Amino acid sequence: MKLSELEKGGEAIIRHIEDESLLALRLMEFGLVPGMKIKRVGKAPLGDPLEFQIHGFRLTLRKKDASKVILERS
Amino acid sequence: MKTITLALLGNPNTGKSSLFNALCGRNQQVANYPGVTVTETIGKTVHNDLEFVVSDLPGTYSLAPQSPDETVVLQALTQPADGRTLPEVLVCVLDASNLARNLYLLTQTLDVGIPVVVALNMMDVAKENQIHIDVEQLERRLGLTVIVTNARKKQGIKELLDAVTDAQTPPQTIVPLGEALQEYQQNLTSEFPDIPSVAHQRMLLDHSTEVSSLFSHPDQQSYLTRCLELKQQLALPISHEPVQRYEWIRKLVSDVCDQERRRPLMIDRMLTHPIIGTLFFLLLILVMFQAIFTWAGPAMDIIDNATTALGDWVGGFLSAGTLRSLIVDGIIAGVGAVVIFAPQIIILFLFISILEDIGYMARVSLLMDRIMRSVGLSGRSFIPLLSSFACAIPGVMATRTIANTKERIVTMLIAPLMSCSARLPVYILMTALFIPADAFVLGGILSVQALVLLAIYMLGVVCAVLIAFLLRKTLLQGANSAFVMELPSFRLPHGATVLKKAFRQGGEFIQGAGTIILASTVLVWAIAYFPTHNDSAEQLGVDRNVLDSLQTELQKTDQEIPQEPSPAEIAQLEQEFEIRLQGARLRNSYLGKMGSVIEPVVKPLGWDWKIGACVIASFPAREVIVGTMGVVYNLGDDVDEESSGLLSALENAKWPESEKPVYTMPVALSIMVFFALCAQCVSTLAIIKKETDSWKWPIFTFIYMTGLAYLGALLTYQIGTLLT
Repeated sequence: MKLSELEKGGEAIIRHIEDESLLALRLMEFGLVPGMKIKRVGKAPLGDPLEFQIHGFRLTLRKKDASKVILERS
Repeated sequence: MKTITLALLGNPNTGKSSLFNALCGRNQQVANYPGVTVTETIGKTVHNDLEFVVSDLPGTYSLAPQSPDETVVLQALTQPADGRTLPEVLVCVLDASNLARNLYLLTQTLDVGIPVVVALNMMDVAKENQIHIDVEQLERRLGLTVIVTNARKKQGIKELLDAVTDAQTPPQTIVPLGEALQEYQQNLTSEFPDIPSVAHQRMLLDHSTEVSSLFSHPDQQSYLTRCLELKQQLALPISHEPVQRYEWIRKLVSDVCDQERRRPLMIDRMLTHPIIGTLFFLLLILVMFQAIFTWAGPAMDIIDNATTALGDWVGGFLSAGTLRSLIVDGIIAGVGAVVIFAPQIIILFLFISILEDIGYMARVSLLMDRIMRSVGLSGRSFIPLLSSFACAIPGVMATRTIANTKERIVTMLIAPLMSCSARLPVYILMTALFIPADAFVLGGILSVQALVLLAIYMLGVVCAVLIAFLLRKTLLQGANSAFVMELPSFRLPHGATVLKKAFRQGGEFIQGAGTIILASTVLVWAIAYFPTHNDSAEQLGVDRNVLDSLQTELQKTDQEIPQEPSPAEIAQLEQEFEIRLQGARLRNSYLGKMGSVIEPVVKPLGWDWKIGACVIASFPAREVIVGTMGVVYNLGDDVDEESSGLLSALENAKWPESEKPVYTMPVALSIMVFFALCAQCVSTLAIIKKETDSWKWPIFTFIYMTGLAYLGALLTYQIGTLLT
C-alpha cells in the first residue's frame, strides 16, 4: 500500500521509499525510514496536500510525493 | 579579555533564535553571506570575564544541504568564506518535544570535529505532551554535556555558557557509516590534508549539487575528480546515511524518553478544518489588509508632514536657487517618498513574523498549495504574493523561504503585478473622473467605483497567473518542487523575537531601496528643473495680467479705498502666479519636452503629451504621478487624489486641435490599466537585483511589465473607443 492511500486516522509502518531523488533523501532525513510508524491525521481543504504524524511531529506531503512511500500494514 | 567563538545550529522551529536573543540581548549585528541572500546574525555577550562571540546559523534539518540556507551552515562548519573563522564550540539546539528528528542533525554534527554542547530546549512543550526525557542518560549516551534551556524564560543561559567554556575536546563519532566510507574518507584526508575531514565525508555522501562547489582546494579539479571516483566505487544508496543514523536514534530515543505521543490541540484541528480553517484564513487576510491600509495611515501622515516641515525648515537656510531646489524638492522629498512606506512594511512584517512565530504560516502554505500548484508554484509562494498587495518590496523579500530557486524567481517576477498601495491614488483619481461616487448596482449595495477598483485588482492577479504559467513552461521550467514541510506545533508568540524581526526587515527595506530611489528622484527632479528653472514669465509667455492686477491692487492699498484686498487675497494672487509660472517651466523643461517627443508613442493609448510626461516622471516611483499632474495642470504640487481642483482640471483638459476632452472613459481606463501592469518602481527592481544577485531578472521584469502595460493600455483604449 502507498502512503497516499492511508485513510484518515490510519497508522502503518514504512517499508521503503520508491524513489532515488533528493525528495526521498529529505523524507528519510525527516525519519521516514523503513520500520518507522506513520499516521494520517488530516488533509488540506482541497484534498491535497495530506497531513501526517511521524515520531512526534507533523508533516505535510502532496499526494504525488506520498505515493512514493510504500507501507506495510501494522 | 579572552574570546570564545561559538555557533548555534539546529532544526527550524527549535527556538534557536529565541535562544540567541536570550544569549546576546541587543548586542547583535546582521550581515549577509557572500553571494547568497542568507543573512547571518552575530552577537556578543560577556560571562565570567570571557567574551562570547555567537553566530546564529540558519535553521537546517541536515548537513546534506538542499538549499542555500543549508549550504551556508555546512560552509560555516568546514571552510568559512570571506575571512570568517571556524567556530571553537558548536551549540546544537534540540527541540525536546521532537527529539528523534532533531537528533539526526546532532549525529551529523558530531562528525564535524569541533567540540559540541547540547542545548535541550522546549522541555515545557515536551512536558505538555507528556514526554519525559532522562537527561542524565541522554548525556551519557551522547558523551556530551546537555544543558536544559528555556530560551523564552531565559533559563539555563549561564549554565550553557559555562558548558561552552569547558568544552575542549572534539566529540567521538557515535553513528559509524560503514568501514568502506571511513577508509575512503581517510584516503582523501591524507591526499588532501587542507580540507577538513568532515568535508570528505559530505562529498562522498553527497547526492545534490550544492556540495560539490563548496570546498575549495588549490587543485580543485583533481579533488572533485577523486571524490567522484571514490563515490562511484562506494556506490552507496541514497538511503545509506538516514537508515544508519535513524537505527541508532530509535534505540536511543526509546531508552531515554517514554513513548512520544503528541495529541493535536483543539485549535490545530479547527485551523486546518476544511471549512472553519478557510473562513478563519479569509478573516485574517481581511484584518491584515485593513491594518496595512488604515492603521498605517496616521504614521504615514506624520512622516509626510515631517518631511514637508523638514523641507521648509532646511529651505529656510538656503537662498532660492538650484541648490535649495535640489535639497528640498529632490533629496528630502525623494527620501520622504521611501520612508513613508516604512509603517506599512513594518506592520506587514509584524503580521508575518507573528504568524510565523505561532506556527500558522506553515498552515497557510498548506491551505493554498493546491491552488498555487496549478500555475507551477507551491503554497510557499502565497504569502509573498499576498504581501505584495501592500508593497512588492517586502513581498520579494519574503520569497526567501521558497527553497526551489526557479519557483522563487517566478514568484519575485510576478509579485509586482499585485496592485500595491502606491497604485491606489491613481485608481481613485481615474475612477472618480468618470464614475459618480453615488452610482450603485445590485439594489444599492455595491458601489460602481468599488467594482471598477476590484476589477483592476483582479486584472493584476489574472496577468500574474498567466505570466507564472508561461514562465514555468518556458524560461523557468522545471519539475515542481516537492512540498515537504513540517507543521510546527502552535505556541504563543515571543514578543522580543517578533519585534526584532519586523524592525530588522523594515530597516533592510529603507537601506536597500532608499539609495536607489533617492538617486532616481534626483534624476527626475533634474529633468523637470532644467533648463528652464531661471526663465522669466515673459520668456515663458505666462500671462502677465495676474501680476499686473496684483500690482495695481497693491498700489490701491495706499489710497485706502473701500475695496482694499485683504493680505490673504494678495497671497492667493501671488500663489496663483507662482503656480502658472511653475507649470510653464515644467512644460518647457526636459521632462516636458520628453513628453512631447513620446506623444506619437502614447497617442494610440489615447494620451496627450501631458499624460506622457507624467508617466515618464513616475517610472522611478509610481506614487509621484498625482503630484506631477498637479504641477502640469498648474495646481502646484500639493494636490492629492481627492482634491477637487485636480479633478476639474482633468475634466476640463482638451485636445488643442479638436477641443475635445482628453479624459474620456477609455483614456481613464487605459491609464489605470497601464499603472496596474507597469513596473514603475525602482525600489522593487532594486530589491529583485539584490535577492537574485543578478541584473538579468530586474531588467526582464522591467521589460515584460512595461510591454504588458503598453499592450494592455492600447487594447483598453482601442476597444473602449470602438464601444463608446
